[in-house]
Amino acid sequence: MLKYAARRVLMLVPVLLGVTFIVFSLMYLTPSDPAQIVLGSNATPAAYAQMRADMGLDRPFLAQYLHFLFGYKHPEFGYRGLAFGDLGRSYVTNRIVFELILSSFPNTVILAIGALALALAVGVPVGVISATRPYSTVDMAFTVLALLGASMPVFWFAMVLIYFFANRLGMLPAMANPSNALSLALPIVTLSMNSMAIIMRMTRSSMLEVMRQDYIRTARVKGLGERLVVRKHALRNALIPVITVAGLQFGHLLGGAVLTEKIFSYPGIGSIMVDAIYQKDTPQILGSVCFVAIIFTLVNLFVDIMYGLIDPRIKTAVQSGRKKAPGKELADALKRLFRK
Amino acid sequence: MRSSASSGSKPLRALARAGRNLGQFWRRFSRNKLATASLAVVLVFASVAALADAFFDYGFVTSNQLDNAFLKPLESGTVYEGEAELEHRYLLGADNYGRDILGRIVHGARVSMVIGFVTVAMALVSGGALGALAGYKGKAFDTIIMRATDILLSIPTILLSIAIVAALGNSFFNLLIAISASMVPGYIRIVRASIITVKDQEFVEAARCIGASDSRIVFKHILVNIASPLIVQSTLNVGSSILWASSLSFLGLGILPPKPEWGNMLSEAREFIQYAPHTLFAPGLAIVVTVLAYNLIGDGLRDALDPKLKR
Amino acid sequence: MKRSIALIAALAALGAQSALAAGAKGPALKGRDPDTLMFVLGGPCQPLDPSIYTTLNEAQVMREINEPLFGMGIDDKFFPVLAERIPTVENGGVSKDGTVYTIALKKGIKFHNGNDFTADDAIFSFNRILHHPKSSAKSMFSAIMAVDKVDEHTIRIHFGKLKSAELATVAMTSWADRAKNMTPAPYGPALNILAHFCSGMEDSQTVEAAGADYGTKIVVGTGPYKFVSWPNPQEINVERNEAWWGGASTIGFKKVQFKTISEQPQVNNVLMTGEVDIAFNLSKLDFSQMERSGVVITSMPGVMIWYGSFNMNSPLVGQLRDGKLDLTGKYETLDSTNLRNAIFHSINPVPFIRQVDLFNGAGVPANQMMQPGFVGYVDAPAADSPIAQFKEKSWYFDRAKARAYFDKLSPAFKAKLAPECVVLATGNITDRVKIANNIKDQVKTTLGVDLVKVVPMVGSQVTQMGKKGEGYDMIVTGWYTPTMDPDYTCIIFNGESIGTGMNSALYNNDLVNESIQKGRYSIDQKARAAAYVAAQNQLMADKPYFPMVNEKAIFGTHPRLGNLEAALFKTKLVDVHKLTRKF
Repeated sequence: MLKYAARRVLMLVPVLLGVTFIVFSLMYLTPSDPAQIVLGSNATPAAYAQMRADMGLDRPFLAQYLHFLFGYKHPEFGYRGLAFGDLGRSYVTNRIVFELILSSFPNTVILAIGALALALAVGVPVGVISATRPYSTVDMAFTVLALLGASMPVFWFAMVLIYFFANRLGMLPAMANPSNALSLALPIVTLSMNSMAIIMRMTRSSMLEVMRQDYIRTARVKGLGERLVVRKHALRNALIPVITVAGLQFGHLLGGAVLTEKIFSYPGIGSIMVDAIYQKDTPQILGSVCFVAIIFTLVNLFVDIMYGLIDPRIKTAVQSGRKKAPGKELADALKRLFRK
Repeated sequence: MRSSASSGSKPLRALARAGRNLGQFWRRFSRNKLATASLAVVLVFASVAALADAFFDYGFVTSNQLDNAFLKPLESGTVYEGEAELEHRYLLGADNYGRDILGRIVHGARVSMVIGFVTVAMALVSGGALGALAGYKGKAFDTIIMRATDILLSIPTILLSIAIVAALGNSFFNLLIAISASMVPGYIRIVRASIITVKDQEFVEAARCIGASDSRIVFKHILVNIASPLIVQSTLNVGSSILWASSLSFLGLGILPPKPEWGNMLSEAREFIQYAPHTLFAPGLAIVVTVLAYNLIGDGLRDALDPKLKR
Repeated sequence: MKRSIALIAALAALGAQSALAAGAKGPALKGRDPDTLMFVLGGPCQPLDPSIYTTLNEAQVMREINEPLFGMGIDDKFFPVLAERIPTVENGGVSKDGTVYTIALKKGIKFHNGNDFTADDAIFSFNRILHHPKSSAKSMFSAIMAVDKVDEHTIRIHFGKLKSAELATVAMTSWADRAKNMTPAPYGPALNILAHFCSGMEDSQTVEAAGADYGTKIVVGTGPYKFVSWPNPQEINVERNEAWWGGASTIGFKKVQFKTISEQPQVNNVLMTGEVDIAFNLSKLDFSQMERSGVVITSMPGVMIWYGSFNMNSPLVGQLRDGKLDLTGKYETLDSTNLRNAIFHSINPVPFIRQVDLFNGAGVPANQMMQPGFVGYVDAPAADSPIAQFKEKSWYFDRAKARAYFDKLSPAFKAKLAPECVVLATGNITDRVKIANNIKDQVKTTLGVDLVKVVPMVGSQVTQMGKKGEGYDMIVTGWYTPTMDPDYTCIIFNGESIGTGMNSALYNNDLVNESIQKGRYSIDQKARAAAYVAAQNQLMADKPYFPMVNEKAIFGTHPRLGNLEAALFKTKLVDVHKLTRKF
């Protein structure tokens, strides 16, 4: 088991490197002149050239990439590099890039946790109910509702919510702020819709799969009440892939809260990233996107390792190396299908 | 024992088998009423979209008739075509420029269909090819491709799309690239997993014993194995592709007004949610209904095609 | 089941009741601190360093923290702020030739950190505006030749102009450079620039000590509010300066939070729910509904002019003959001149003003490249002036004329006119794109060919293109004149501005340039007016620009705010410290 975990951690390094490379290349290709952004539009061409040289922008691509990773020495524009969590100051706001990232990230985490909690709190019970009455009217109704959640454009749904709850009813504020708990209600509901749908479907299929297993039939034959069967035996095993999906969803929520944060003017890392991209604020973009990607990869890794620890079938399967346990195969297949 | 190898009747028998499978599949699928209804909806939308020009003139839905701005659904207004003055009834109302919302939705449906199918096709071909390479050749190819997939999956999709469009420029083609990029990893994994599973299985050994050629067996079995998850995934992806396109238009990337596209219609209508809600609800519902339909179809397909889930 | 229905019904009733109650006394405050004023900004702020950063957003904040020497009231008259009195020729503050201003500074004024405000700080601030590499207000203050210290509380400002036109491209990075390249000259807008927020006085000690952190972590001034914190890009907090020289008791609100909300519809939302107190970037859409929910809408003539430019370098709409700009005043009528005129007369900005989601009535059609109310604005055009053709209801729009010009095009030229060949670039802001699309539509309707292609792009890119004059045929943009003086507006069409991106038509007419010089280097208001009138007439004859709309300044405020008449300016800036609490 430890070897499995260690191997996964080792594979992290090339993945993270690849992420930084792709993001850096995209920013390199983007037409913008950082010297312009810093000096404004009124400086002389000589001043721009000097600024570009000072910022290290006249070096070849690979040199700039290495600077980005490991640091750039300069009295005014120097920084220690992504590896040390220092990318200097933003071109536009003149603040230290990572300071802004680290102060806004916790806000997004609050939203993500709230959204995931809501998604689980609603998705799991609804999924279980659906699974115990497959193909009935209730099941169809829940299916439509769940898929509805995954079919609406996020920003549209947010605007509709604001219209009804903030403007019409005046019950909830239209702007969200981490200091005002009530204001978090609408953004959390908006953000949770997609995950709720996925978790609900996942719970349903996982439950259906588990309920077909032999040991459930045995329990029923033994004379245990249906509810007990469901709760004790089926649910626990069915929930394992659900938890995995929930863990993966957390990563998506962290990176995907962008539109929600924009609509609600919420000071999380999503709005920082979008603003930075619009203003072509390269160090801020690079820092934020790489930061989120790294966190996301770490969350995935954590979930994978935890999954391996929790499910004893996996442990043995992994140890024996070859055959995949049935639950894991289903979980993998469904994970693949729901990955967006 | 090559008893079944008479070449003459093989294609006929293959056809018959396919026909039977199709019939079986259709029976299972049609039991799911939601999915069948959604299929009908999608077919109707697709035909309306294809025949968009017959319903509404493209020039008409992209030019301004400012005097008719914000007419409510079913209201009429005067419209100028060249020198003539006509009375036009706006079935779903008019937007802020006085353009017919229903007309824009119909033309936008065409754009959405194109985006949906082209991006899925692009992702399917590239993802499938890469997945096949990874699964079939294995070793170095496999590691590199899987790592590349992991990398792509680590970057939040919306940021990747924004970054791609920002870097490459704001054109229709770049929009397609940005959207299909996020779908490629899914296809790589499906194809690769299917190939690996088939490679291991015992019947390949058995088939080899009989003497059937290696690649033909593997190919046929892979295809059978792959077909269902690919079909399901693609259907779901068409829906999410339409959603992504609308999100990107909302952010000002992708297809811009006055070209009709559901996402930019929403973006334009944003400010009028209090003043003229019909401008926001109509295109929003169009997106929701379409994407929901695709999701329900995909759901139904998965149920119908999954050999394990028996009723 | 029944219980949950009852619960939902109760909640709905409560909600309905609160909605009704809200309408009664203005939007509820939603449990926020009544002593804090919530001020909405339209975009994120750059660092709060008035010498360097100049956009409208941080201007609102900086004006409360850093004060200039003078101020301009809503009556367009100057009054002293950090100076003792207004210098005039009569009281000896201005030298007879108008080139030297001797300014006595108020005594006993302290910065928020206790440091004294002295002449050294004033000189430091001017030096920073003119010579700091990142400063964007350089050109506005470029007429300042030198600033001397007379004593601890008196300074002398020398105004001048460049010795020769070629020196315009030379970068001046120190007082020595300026002394070398400039010669004394009177400056018409002298007091205007000294009343501009960019010349807000900074504390030399603090700015130098703080280095790169000044403006974001450390901000110090003499003003009625002092900087408290800037926790994230969307929120700036300031609080009342109890030791303000102007009297802390006159400052209505103890604390102010400046919150950035860039989506206009959201601004309207939060005004109506009562979550904010004041905003100037509202969506103009449904004022009647806003007023019904208690929001107070105030509108006044503004200083923002929306206009478009024709690239004189463009072979399609420009004025290039044999590769050179031909604008001597008596130029040849080329095919491109005719096309330019054809497009000009196809446009009609009046429907834009009516358009509900664009100006919604908050503007007047502009007939010249100058804001009304400024010195030199042509109020009553002479009969032979091109401005006389302007009509209130239809601007210069004339379908027959447009088609006539279009028909005059030579067959060879017409053959080259493919659909969407005229590139109309504009900043990526909703309103600008709407205007651009309207123009495209109008040209298509009038001329029968869809000639215009609208290309939205990032604002800085537009400026970049405007520097070289490449890649576009037309641009739609706006110009905002915070100094309330025509000289600043003239930057748009001054030949000197070519290469800076602000003269996006690359227009260079000798008569106009001379008029601008005359207007700039004189303190005789009548002479200035005459010079600017001449320039305007020439501009509307050449048509390198088409002025469209003079936008009104509109504010939305919570009914609890008082003293609006004294605090709201037509520059869209607000004297926040003058706002009071009515309840």
